[in-house]
Amino acid sequence: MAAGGKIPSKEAGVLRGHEGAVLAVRFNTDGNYCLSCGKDRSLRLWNPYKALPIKSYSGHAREVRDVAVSKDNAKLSSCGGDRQLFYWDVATGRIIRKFRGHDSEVNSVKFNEYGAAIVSGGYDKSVRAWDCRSQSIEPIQKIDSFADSVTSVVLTSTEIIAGSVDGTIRTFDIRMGREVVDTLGQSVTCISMSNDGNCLLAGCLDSNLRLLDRSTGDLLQEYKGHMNKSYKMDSCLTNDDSHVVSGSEDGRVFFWDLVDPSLISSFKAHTSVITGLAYHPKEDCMLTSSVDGTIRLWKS
Amino acid sequence: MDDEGGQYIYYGQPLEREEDLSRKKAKLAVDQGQARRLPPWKQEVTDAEGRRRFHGAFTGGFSAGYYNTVGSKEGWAPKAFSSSRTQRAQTAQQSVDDFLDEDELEEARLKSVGTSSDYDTFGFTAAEIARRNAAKEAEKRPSAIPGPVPDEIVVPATQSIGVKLLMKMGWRRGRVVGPRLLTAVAAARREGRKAAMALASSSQVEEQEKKVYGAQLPPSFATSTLPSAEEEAEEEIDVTENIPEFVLHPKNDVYGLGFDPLKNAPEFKDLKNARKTKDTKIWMPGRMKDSRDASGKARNIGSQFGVGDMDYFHDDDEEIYDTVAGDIEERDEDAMKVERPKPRLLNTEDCIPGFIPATSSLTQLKPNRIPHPKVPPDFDTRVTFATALDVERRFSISEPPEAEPPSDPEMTKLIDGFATFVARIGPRFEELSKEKHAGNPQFSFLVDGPGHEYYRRKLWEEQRNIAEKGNEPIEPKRKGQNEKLDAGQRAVILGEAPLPRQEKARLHEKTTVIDTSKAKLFFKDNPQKQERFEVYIKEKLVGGIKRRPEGISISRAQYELEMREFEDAFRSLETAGPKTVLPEQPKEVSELTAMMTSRFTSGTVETISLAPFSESGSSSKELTLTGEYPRREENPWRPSAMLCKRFNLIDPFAGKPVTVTKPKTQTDSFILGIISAEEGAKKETPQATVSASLSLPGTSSTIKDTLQAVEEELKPVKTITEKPVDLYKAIFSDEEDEDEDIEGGKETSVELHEHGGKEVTAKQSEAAQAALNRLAAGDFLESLGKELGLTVPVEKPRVELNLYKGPSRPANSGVVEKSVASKVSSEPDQEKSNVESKKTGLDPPARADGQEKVSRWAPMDNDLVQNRSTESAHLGGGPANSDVGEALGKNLEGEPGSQKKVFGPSKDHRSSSSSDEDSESEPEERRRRHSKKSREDSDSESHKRRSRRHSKRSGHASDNSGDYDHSKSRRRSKSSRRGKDDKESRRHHKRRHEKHKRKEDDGDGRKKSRLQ
Repeated sequence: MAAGGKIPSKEAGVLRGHEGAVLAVRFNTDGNYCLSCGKDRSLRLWNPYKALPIKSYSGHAREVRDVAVSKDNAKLSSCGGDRQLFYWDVATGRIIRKFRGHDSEVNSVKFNEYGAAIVSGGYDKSVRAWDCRSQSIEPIQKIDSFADSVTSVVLTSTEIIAGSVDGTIRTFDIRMGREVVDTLGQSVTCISMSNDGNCLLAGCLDSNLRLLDRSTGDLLQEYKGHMNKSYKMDSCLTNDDSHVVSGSEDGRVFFWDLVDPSLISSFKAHTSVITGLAYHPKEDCMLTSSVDGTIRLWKS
Repeated sequence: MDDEGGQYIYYGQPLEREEDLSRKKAKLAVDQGQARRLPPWKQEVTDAEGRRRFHGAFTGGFSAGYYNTVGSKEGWAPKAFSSSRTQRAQTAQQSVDDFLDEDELEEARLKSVGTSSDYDTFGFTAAEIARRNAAKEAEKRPSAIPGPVPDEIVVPATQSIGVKLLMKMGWRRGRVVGPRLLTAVAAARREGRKAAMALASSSQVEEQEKKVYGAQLPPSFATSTLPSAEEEAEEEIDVTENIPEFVLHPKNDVYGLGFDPLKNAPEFKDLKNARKTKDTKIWMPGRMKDSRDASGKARNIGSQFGVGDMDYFHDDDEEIYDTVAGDIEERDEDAMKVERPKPRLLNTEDCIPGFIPATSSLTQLKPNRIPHPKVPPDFDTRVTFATALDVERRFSISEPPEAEPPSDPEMTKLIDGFATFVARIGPRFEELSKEKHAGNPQFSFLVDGPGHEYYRRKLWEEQRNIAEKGNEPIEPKRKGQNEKLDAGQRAVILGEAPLPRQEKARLHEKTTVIDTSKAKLFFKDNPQKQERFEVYIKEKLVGGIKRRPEGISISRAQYELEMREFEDAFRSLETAGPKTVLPEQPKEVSELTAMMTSRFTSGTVETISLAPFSESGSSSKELTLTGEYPRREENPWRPSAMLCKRFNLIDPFAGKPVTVTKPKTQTDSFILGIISAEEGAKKETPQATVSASLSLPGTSSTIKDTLQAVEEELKPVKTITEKPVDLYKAIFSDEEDEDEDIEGGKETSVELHEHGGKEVTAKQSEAAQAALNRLAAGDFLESLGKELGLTVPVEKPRVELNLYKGPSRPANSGVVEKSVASKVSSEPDQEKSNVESKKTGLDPPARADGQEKVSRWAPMDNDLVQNRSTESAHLGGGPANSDVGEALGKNLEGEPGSQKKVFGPSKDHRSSSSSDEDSESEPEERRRRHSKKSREDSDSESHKRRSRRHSKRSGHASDNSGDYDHSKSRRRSKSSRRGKDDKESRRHHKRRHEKHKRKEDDGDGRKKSRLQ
């Protein structure tokens, strides 16, 4: 399990199979498998430790930009350039539902805690929630208070948090019925929550990661050094919240200390832009995906 | 009518005997209920003894009122309100009459005063006589209407006797009644006029005088007045009818009808009329001249001009006519000269009698009376506010010379202080002080004492200082007047409220300041309240929905009041905050205050307090971008009810009206409208393995189940797409159903696999079937290979398939199943050896193409197995990272067992017993069906998709079929199970528990058997 914040910097495997850029990589809930999606319009299920492709899910008409796994690992949800969300059954690889409604490309998708709803954010400046339980393919909630493309969506049990290119992170508290807008002033490409749920890491297009206090909206820390100026690029906190990880457009991976924003480590991981980054939920293990078409597994 | 006895003849109806009556009625009276039931007109009112009540012969008899009720036919029931679309209810305008009955109405009518034709003696009687005459006449002459004509129809025209009399006397309609009153005055006038006529030809001048002398009347009467004119007209011109007023005096003014502004001033009226005629004359000068030329001094002008406008004015006043005519002549000439008309008032002719024309007009007097103020030549109409420049100039102009401070330091201090005061408050203060301290030697510096020089200098300095302070922030403004203001600055200048976003952001910065310093000062006397206020502020700054806190000792109304109070207090804090406490006061504000101070030079206390902050304005420049962000802002947001439901939260807006959005499109259903008949038939085929895996996620959240499902899925890949029934069941049915479905699905799937195992007994006749299956499998693999970017040989070596797939793919193809079955049944050891071999040379790429494909899949099994081993501790396998071969081996060697283990305990028992006859025969049939189906399905991808869609669409039908299958299988399994564990409960969790237990048992058993 979490081994005291050792940095996964040793390459432990390469997953090849995607034709063209891999746009996102995600661990499943327990971290034993991973999912990737890319420009080849397919989703792939891998066993990253064995570098084994398990299944390929194809159905998207355009590139697949994001994929999410339900908590019970039974369902997948993917979204992409074809403006729709696919709700997959993991086992059969069948599309259970296609949610159409976004007016433009869909950038990010997440399952809620119970796998009962999917929340997506797209280039159409909206966040939409979709119902997995009923047969309806209409969104059950449409939030369009954003001024620009929504790049990243994070869900808690009671909130929908979404980052947008308009430089805001909006937290929609369903329980309280209010919207909290944190304006960062810089386009947000990726938001991720700390594992304790208190902080929010926002990757901004000014090559800056910002750590926000969720309760107050204060800027706690900034992490610089990497390069992120034009791509939607993942960043996250390690599973023990000790470090901040981010990819870079030069193919490097950067590690910062959470508290003291010093660069701890950076190494060349890919030959091209790192698009996706996933940290194992328990172990010191990390996956990176890149435009070069590979997914790499990193271990400490 | 003859009676029987023939003695009496009865007329009419005999009265009933009182006794009979009373008895009858008494009975009725007793039977109250019955009486009540009858309608009112059938009820009979009885007295206490049951006798019919008699009201009196002339007041109703036995049924007074309306059948002995006080009501009417309509009764007393209130009018029912009814209004329909076609017949709208009239707005009932009630009057007193509505509440009066007939008698009262009669009374009311009698009391009221009005006219009655009865008393119109002439009219009524005349009408009566006329009517009678008409009736008589009508009788005489034949009529179109036979019989007497009803009076109402024919009403002869009648005239009252008065009219008749008058007419007999010669009066005609439209004429004035009464003798023509030719007063002596009029007669005299006429005489006078006649006399004047004789002299008329003499001269114009004489005429005027003649008028005066001839008639002994005041001049006003001499000029023709209207009544006299009329009389004349009637007398001389034979006017047969009274000319209506509106013809004579057409209304051409804008006064109200009948209003005459000159009613009480006949003189003015005359004047007006005269003017009017003059005006009209101007219009037709030529004609008048002609007429005059033609007839000379014709006496009767009226006849010449006809009955017109002119007649009644001047028909008898020739002199006037002549005057006017002469005037016209003059006018004509004047018109030719185009002379400007003289001012009317100055025209002596127009002068009102009794007045003398003024020699000088009023307008000429006016300028003398009120002379215009003289505008100084250097007056500037534009107002310019003192800008900083002006302020500067103002002080630089009158710079007093430098002066030494007085020797007395006290004095110096005093002068300094006083100068500062005066500079800020204004010269008025100085003046007041001068008065106040006139005799005070201490303040002698004000006048001319020692230190006066110094005071002047000091005052000037102070004034300049203040001016400069105000000047300072304006300086850049003046410089950059061409520069554009940003929205914020503009808003501040215009006094607009800042946008909520900015406000919120600023508010957040202010938090601590407000909290600590100022908030404490409010409600000092009431600590509890103070506490609440602080809480309120905190909440306010944090944001969110305010709820009334628990445990508050005040009532709701009080709380509301207090909230309002807090709101005000907070607002005051908000406004006071930045001014007094916040160092980072926005620059705009300071600029504004500076502008204000410079504009309103007279100082007040406020300017003093504001002045220092203009300096701090520069600090706002330090407010960098990083300081502004991140900003936080809160807005209300309404989540949809469904979202709340799916997030398992209570809708915060529940109960408030929701706008429901209807689904716009149902494109899916349109696409799915294409259903093939075979697919419909296919639905009825029994449920296969998919169902188990698909139904799992709904109920179990453990990955194990899912992975089992995955494993299950991946083995019989082909069957996946064709059996969507349970998938949808799993998704759309509720938990209870799902549980059952899982069971059913599992059982069926297990059965299938069992068949795989029991395939040993397959007959030769199945060979053809198997070949077909193989073909189908080949097709499938090929397509799969394409998908994965690999080449797949059409025919695969059996052995390899056996090797890699093992019995784990029994449902996939007949060939495989068959071979696997034989393998499994005959030689488990061989499998083990296969495993060993694989262990040694596992690397997939090293294998042949066909193998590679398999190997691609095989590891997946490994994976799953491995995962399972990690997940389910009871398996007792290696660690999570145990090598593939081992995992695979485990998988392969324990294939039949593991299958059972995975798919249900009941199967275990059954397979172990393997004595169930009907479960043997059934599966065969099922297998056949299944393979057939799979063949069909593997035809094309689109086909699959269609079937899937179809099943999705026709969820119900497929559900039903699925249900049918499940129930069947359930029944079967139940019956088979009954012997073993009849106490097994239907509850899912219990079964699951058992399953686990059995798994363990089974695993142990298998291990043992392996060891053996």
